Amino acid sequence: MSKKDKLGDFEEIVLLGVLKMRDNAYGLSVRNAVAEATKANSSIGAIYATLERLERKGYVKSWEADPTPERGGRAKRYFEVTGAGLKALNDMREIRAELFSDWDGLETLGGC
Amino acid sequence: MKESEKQEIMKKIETKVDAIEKATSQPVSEKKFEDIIMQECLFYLNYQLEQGIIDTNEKQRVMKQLFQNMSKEFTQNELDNISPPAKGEFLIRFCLPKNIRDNVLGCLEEDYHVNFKRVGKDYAVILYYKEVFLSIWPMLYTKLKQLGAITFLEEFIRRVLL
Repeated sequence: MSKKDKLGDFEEIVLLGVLKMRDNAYGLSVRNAVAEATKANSSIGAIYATLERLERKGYVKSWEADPTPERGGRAKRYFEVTGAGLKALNDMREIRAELFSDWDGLETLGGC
Repeated sequence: MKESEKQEIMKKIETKVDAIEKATSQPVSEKKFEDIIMQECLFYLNYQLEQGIIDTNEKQRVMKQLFQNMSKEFTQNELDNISPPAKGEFLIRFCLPKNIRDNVLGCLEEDYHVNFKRVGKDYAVILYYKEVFLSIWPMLYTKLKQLGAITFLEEFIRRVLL
């Protein structure tokens, strides 16, 4: 994974949010999923900017559905995690697992 | 409105009613039926608004007319606030990049309608503006920084204070 393609913390959370929402992953639903998980409010603008960046990196793909009245006649843009996105998430998990492998020892030492 | 457009809307309403009746195995209630009609008309008017065929005043006028012909459960107050504040929309259009602008506006409007039903108009407007400012702030900050305005202000404050 090159430095340019590396997942940032927020990107990783948003990508997991898209994964969690499955067939219903669009801006607002992803925002709600992220807010529920992190217990912090993220703006819709930040979510879309991140999704846009993830799409440029090839980690998600998007398509537009029919316009709906509750959105003022605007179309919903749905997102789906690609194979590259799943691989990037797995890589991040492995890195974390590697770094957390000594966690038990740290706990007994009272380091946290 | 053209006859063909009227027929298209009627067809959409019938399709929706049929789908609901099939799914629930019950006839749709009068309130639900009115909801569907309102949704379709609103969609049509928003489309016309987006295309620049009508303006906001015309949209409001047609919506008023529709509400008057329907059940009393729709109040005048609801009608006046059916759309989120226009100033917020302007800020989004002004500050956000083109590729995400419409998506953000759509989500904000959807969120506004949910909040409107949940907590009422006043709080829904506050939440809407909060969301608008949270959404535009990072872009606004970057743009201002690019222009050197933030650096200038920082330097100015530092010189005044120190």
